[in-house]
Amino acid sequence: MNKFLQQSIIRERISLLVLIVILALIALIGRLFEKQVLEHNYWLAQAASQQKIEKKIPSERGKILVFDPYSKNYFPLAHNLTLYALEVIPAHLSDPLKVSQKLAPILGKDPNEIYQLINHPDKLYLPPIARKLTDLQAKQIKKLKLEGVKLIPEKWRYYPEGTLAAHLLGFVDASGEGRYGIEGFYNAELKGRWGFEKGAKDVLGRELLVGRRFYLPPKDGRDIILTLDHSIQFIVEEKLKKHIEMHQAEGGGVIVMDPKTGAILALAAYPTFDPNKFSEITDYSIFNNPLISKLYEPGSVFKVITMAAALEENKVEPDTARYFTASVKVADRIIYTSNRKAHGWETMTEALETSDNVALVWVAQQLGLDLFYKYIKKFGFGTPTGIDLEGEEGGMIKPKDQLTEVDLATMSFGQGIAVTPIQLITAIAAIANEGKLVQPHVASALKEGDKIKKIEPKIIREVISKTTAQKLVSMLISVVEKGQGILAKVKGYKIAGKTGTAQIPRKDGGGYEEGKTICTFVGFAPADDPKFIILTRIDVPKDTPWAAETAAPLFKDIAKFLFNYYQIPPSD
Amino acid sequence: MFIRKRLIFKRKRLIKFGPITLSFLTIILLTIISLFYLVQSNQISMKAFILRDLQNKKTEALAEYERLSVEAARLKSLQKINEGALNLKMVKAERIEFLPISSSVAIK
Repeated sequence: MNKFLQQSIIRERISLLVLIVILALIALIGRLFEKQVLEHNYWLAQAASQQKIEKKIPSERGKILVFDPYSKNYFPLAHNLTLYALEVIPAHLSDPLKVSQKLAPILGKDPNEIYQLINHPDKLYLPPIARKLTDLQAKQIKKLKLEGVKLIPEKWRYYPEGTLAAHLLGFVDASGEGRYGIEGFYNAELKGRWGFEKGAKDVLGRELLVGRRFYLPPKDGRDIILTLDHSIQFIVEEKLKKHIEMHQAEGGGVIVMDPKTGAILALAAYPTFDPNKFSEITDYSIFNNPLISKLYEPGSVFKVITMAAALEENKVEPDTARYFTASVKVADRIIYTSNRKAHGWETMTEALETSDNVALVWVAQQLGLDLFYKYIKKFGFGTPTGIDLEGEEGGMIKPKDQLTEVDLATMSFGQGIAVTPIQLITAIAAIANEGKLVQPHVASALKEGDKIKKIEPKIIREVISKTTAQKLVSMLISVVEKGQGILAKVKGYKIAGKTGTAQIPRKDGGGYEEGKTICTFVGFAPADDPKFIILTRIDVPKDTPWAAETAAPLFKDIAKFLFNYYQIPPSD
Repeated sequence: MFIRKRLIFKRKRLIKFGPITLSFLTIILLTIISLFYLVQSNQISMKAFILRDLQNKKTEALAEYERLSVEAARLKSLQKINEGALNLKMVKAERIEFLPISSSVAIK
């Protein structure tokens, strides 16, 4: 081979090599173009997910507390609890059968059931296979050191007293939002504000505390201290359940309130629910608090309002006497007494004692539509009381221009008007409170760390004078001493109160349900300086339709306990 | 006089800096600063790890506190207390009497 040929071969080889290098470079540039230009956003996101941390930091929901006046301690009615969700990444599992066998005894599930859930080797995500795992279960699972198995801490609301005051508390749903009751009304205060964190992380995914970092700390929610007395609430619920069972009633409710401040001391409705297990309930109507949202015709309790208006306008006096027959004709309608018998000559006090419909129709007629309507509104009917609970209804009164003389007559004894129990107790509390209407409330203070912001009681207006209120209190004492409220009497104590047996309007709008009643009693004691006012309600009792025999004895039972609890000595 | 002259001579030699000296000094200074930065960064990183450990301990302690608070609340619930009272066969006080306190008793 001559020298020229050798040089030619070398040149060819060099050219080939240069060509290969150029091609390789083109391929490399092409690949770089693909990664850096065409797939720029994808790789940027990948890098960001590997290096950056951006996360919301949840705030701690405020607790709901009650203050115990005897032990001077706060007791939680709603607390926070960390439980764990168990997540499995099927693609990362080396042996799904072994994993399911190890998890089964801890979760209390069948291994085959778990195996069916997790045996999807191609999947990278599955919804949690178990939730609400306790600390102990979480520790047991951690000990197993299973690859592809993760425990995610989750915050849950815990109600240590179970069903106690469930309607008043409400609950927190799976998305962390408060629903119904206090949880719903004070959701913003309880929830607080989420925090935010932005920074870098190391190869192991741990957050780096050096370098550029943005950190906005979460603002925890405020604790809410209730006016509720948990001992009273507990006893009230116990007694309510007992009386409902005794009368085989469909349901019922009790409100205990301080008439001078409007502070709710107990609020119980039955049937009830356990807010810890709200997700298991299928009939959502049970979440509605019937004491603030269920409208009903109050019946004879409303006679107190009619009488208050007439006394205030000087249309009658407690001793105004008149002869009343068994019925009265108003326009085309005949209105009867409850037993269809005439009560004859009786004073206004006696008319309340016997709960005489005919007498009260006469009283309302003395007032006239305008004045009667004015007082109904003044006592707060037709508008929500403003109680700090979610879901309050405002009641239902016909517009004034649509009212007829029949409406005036029927409304005088509590028919043709729809109210809520909270409206009723608030209105009668005004009589106990020398004529001043106060706003009912459940929260007494908001607590943030050691700072306590008190919520002051609110006087809405004076609805009747102190003199009228005093006259009415005497009349209502007489109702309990000698009248239909006698079964509410506690020996040795002066109690003022009134019964109310209301018929239930038919759903088709024609008349009332046969033999079905809602029984109410509202009373306060000690009558001369009331410490408490109680509304008791029994829905559709089976053994007797009368409030005097159902709601009044329940009142007595609760009042008896309260006299002892508050250590109020007998006055008689 | 002789000593004074020598001193002046020595001072003149000390303050004489050439470009090589300056370069050396700059390199030494940069090395010291770099070392200082490295040591400081390392210390901050170490502190960050300690801080994270402490944060984890705090989280664990808070979780334990929360768990114990919940357990205390559960045990202090009226339902639980009532059950305890029944188990201990305690009975309700049915007859309650209020004793009148006369002023003479109070004085005594």
